[in-house]
Amino acid sequence: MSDKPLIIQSDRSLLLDVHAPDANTCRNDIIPFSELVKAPEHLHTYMISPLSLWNALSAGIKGDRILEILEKWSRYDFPTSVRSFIIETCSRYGSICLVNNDGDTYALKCKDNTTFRVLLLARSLREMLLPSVNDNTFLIRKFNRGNVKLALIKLGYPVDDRIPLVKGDPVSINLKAELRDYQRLAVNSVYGNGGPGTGYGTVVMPCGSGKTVTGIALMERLQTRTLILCPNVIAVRQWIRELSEKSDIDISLVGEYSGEKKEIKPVTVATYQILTYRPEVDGSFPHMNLISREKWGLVIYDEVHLLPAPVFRFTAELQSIYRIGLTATLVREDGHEEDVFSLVGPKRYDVPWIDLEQKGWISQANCVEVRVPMAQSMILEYASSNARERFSLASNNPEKMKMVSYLLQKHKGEGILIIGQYLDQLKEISKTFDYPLITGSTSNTKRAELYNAFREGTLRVLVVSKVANFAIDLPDASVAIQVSGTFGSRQEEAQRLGRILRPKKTPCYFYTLVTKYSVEEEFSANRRKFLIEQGYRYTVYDN
Amino acid sequence: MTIDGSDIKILTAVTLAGKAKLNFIYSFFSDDFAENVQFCIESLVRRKLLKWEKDCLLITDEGRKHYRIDGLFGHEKVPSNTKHLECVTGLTVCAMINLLISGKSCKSSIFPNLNPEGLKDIYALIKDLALTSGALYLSSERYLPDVEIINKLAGLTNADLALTLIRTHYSEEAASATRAFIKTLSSCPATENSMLGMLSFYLLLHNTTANAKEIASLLLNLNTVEKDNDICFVNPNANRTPKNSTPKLECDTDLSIRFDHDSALPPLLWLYADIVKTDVVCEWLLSKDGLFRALDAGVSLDRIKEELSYPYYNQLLELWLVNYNRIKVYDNCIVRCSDDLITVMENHKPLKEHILSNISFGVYYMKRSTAKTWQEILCSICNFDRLPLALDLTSKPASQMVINTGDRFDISEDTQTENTQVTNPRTLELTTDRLIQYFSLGSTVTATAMDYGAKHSIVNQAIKSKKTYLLIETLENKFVAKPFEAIKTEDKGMIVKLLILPVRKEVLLPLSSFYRVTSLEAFSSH
Repeated sequence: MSDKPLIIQSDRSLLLDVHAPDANTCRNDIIPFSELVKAPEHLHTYMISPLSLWNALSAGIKGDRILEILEKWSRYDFPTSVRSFIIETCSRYGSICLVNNDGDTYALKCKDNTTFRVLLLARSLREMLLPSVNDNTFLIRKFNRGNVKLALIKLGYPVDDRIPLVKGDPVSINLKAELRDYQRLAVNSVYGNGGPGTGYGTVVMPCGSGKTVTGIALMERLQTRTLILCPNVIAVRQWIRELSEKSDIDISLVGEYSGEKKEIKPVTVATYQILTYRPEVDGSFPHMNLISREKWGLVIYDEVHLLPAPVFRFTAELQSIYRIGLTATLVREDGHEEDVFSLVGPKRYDVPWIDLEQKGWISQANCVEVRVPMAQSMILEYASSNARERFSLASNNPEKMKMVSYLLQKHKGEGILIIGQYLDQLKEISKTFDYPLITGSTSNTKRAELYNAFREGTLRVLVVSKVANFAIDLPDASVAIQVSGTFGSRQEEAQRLGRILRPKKTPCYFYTLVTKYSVEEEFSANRRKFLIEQGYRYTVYDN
Repeated sequence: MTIDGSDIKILTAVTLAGKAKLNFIYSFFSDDFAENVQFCIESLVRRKLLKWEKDCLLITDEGRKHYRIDGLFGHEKVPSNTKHLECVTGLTVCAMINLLISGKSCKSSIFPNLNPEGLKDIYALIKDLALTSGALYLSSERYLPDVEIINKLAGLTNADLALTLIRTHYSEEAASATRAFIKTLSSCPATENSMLGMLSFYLLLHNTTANAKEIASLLLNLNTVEKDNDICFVNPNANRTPKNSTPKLECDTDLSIRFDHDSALPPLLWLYADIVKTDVVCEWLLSKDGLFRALDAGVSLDRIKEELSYPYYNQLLELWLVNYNRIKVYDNCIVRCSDDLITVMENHKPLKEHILSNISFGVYYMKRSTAKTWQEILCSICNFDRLPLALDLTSKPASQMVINTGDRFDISEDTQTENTQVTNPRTLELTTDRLIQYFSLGSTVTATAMDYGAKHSIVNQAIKSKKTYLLIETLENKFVAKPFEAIKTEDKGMIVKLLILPVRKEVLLPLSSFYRVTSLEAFSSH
């Protein structure tokens, strides 16, 4: 067996042997045209798809170069079926190109009459294509650029978009912090060569690895008016704080656009909720309309996996603007990952969590599943319940309280988050141990106050519901005790772990309490998948 | 008993297939097909089934033996004029599968006169059917009422064509494991296409309860003597010859187990892991079900750990083992005897060895596998021709009982006749038989007394249901029967008209008590 790190499977998956020499170089080579699927300890799996190939082509990487890279790193013979697939898929790129035209339209040029006729007959494009006087050419309205591209990708015809992105009005901003290697790589992979096909994309990095800094670095690169979209007000304020601390931007140029404040400034940080707010069910989105009229040069989508459906439309209209999506877990329960890739931009950078942990960029995490026996009083009730009730019963197992008490004692003095799904359970914990509770009904002011107290160290334990799953920066949290969760949600598990991953000197602990011999065991196994695929190991404590 | 290479292949395939269910075969007749396509497919499948059935029945007649059929399934889409035929056919398929997976009984009881060539013919039939049904199923996944597919199916004669079809029409998301299996098997030089066919077929038959332990035990024993690397799974990509090398397993934290395609299949991997992908590097996945399967087969955890040699899995495997050991179901017999027989039971050596434990005074827990032997001994001691069977109905009031999902419901009759053979094709009377009716109906019900007319109506309604079959057990044999109607008798009893399926004999059976399961009520008669 040779020492080459890559095994090319005939189903177009690439297995990267991370222990082989040159594995890192190989990884950097294959990232532009493949997508990371999972990264456990030994063999990382990447997948080549039509979209990943077309994205690579749009970024200027030729098909021949892709074949060359694969040939170079392949441990075994390069399967001919994969070779054929790459050649065939790449050959389709360029059969349709999008170029500038007069007025408020772009020209969609087809390479030949056959392609033209296919588009003519496509139902999904019917309302977006306008006739043109030129042969084999359609016109499209500028605001339809994203939707047409999306529809064409779904038809199997990638568009060679030759319209350069537009720079917005200038805004001076410089990063004060030094960029880490992987952050620089992420920014470069999105910015590309500055030509057509680059300047937009999604970056997947673990929680605590500095996604915000990566976003600010792109702002620095572009020096332009920026719209930053976040999942909630707390995250909005965190962004503003980070901009203030880690860049030299004049803070008076930064505005908050949320339910509480309505400031539109050269750098505006808004929530997804405010964008999707509308007074009437079938009415228009007043805030989205207002914001979209501004001439932005860059849009940053924080926690892009949470991008609400109405924002897709908004995003589809922003195809001429630089944009970056930031996330730790691009796992959408609604199956819209492809839409994110198509509209915000393809996954340009993805790094296995464990790699960053090994390099010390995120905290070393110990994931522990603690199996708690079922309370005697609920065994019969559990047995006679339906599946949903069983999950709820197992999650709320009163025996978990003893374990929570034990863990609180064990980690006394450390920053501890107790995270759960069921409010009654959380209230009980909050009441029993006398720690404050943050839920959806807690006011933003109160939340901010408690988070600040936690950051400052005056408060060491917080009980939180799922509102704290995302975008909450609590650098000192080093222990998370998950008492219950949303069935088998992998994304939630990863995001919750993310709350304690900010780099620190001591290792962090992520405990999941699971009722033994209950459905919770199965759900828990599913929840663990994402993190295991990122290279984490779980220890199970039984008894 | 000797097992030849073909047996190994079949058994391996069946075992690998895991939780196959028999019901699935009729999923071909789903609403998703356009009517004409459905007709073509039904005809095609029926032709295959009929051919198979003919051979099976021929064998059965020659052997003058009946066989047990467990699988029961509906066939709503079968045209009314062929209902009866399809029913027989379907059950025959079930029977065949059950016989094949049970291996032992297949040869010793059912096919006593069958030579190896005959067995090969059966395998060939399975393959043929499997390829067709597999392809049909796969095409149905895409809901393609396509004439081209039908043409392809009609001309389907070999595995290559089936594979082409599968590759063309198979839904990526539907079941990657199925495809992986097919791919593996098709690439195995020594395995031949029959295994491929068997497997793809079996994957469709998700309702069969395979006796995993028995099959696996057989296989484990066989594997130790099998030297020609017959059950070796190799890379379909390469024309490389599989080696007898010790495989280098690459276990990872996501429970995946990979090994290089140059290696032979690790001896136990197929038991405790599920195949995910066969490619340049083959990928399997460790699972709880897989571990249970292996434990059922009598493989020790230590042996699995040794084969995996990956300490990270040890804790998980041990936790699964604890879970596995929480409960066990034993399928054995309870014998109760009077005081005078206790001494004999406990001291008579030929009997004693069949006693698993003494439950209470005069009550013994005895091996089912050797029931015939110890029953003969007891018969001889007690001077009985047969041992009385306790039907355990005494605890149930005649007119009122609580029935739970999964219970067995008895129709019993006590007419005494010595002969259990068919003396008259139309008036078979089974003296010690139990008529056990399986209902798939659900909820807990309470029986109440009803008037005779109502009882008759409900009996008729129940037995005419397409899903109602009866399993008739004698001491030695079991029959599956399809009841047609309940006939009123002058003394306000009922006689049920049945068709014994394997022999296609029509019989009348007096009905003494009948516990009906509905959402509303049950009743007794007679």
